[in-house]
Amino acid sequence: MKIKDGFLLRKVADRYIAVAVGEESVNFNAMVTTNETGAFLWEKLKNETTEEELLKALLDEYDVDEERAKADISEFLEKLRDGKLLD
Amino acid sequence: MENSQIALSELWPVMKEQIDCGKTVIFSPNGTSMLPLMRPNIDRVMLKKAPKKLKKYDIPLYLRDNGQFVLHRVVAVLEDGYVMCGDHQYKREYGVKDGQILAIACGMYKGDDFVPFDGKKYINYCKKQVAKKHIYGEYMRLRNFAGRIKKKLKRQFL
Repeated sequence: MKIKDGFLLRKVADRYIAVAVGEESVNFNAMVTTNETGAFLWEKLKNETTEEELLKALLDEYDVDEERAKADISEFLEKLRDGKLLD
Repeated sequence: MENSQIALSELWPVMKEQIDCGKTVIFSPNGTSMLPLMRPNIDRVMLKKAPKKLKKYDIPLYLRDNGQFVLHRVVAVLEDGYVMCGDHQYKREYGVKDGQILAIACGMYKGDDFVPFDGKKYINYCKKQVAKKHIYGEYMRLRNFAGRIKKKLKRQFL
């Protein structure tokens, strides 16, 4: 799985926003926000990756237990799927 | 990840980056000053890079000295700057300079319908709206003036 083409993630103050970037327009009306961990996962999801690879990357990067990391990834992916942001 | 309202002041650097690349950006204004044209958090406005000089009826996004982002209409172009007024207001703001202009609205979405701001129907709306508000503004100015005189006379003779 990976993030669909045509989305842009940018840091705005203390959070990150994802917006749909068209050929001519960028829609800030349909933007979604996320935190630092979400932004980290987003970066990994720019390339084809698996849930296991995301888990390993998260455990390597952050001081978090496996159960919590799995739950965070699962919740993040579910929201990406809900927003139709995943291929 | 959640849908969220972010202040335009925070979003602007990201919007500017896209506008500078030649793209247009779409966002929902949340103020009421441009009613009935722009309904807050319902209608979506499209912004593009502003030309060097604005003209009457343009709707620029500009920055006030106090840091406030404003989307109002140019109702007159004077030597010392633009005169701005929201469609839902009658008090005019004078002396807005070119340096304060960040972008210009080129159209808007009302539901799924796109309204271009260079269409004949839209220009006619602008003319009517600006004339109506000007007359109302003059009426209010006279009414307030008459009210002040009345108060003065009351103080002197009662």
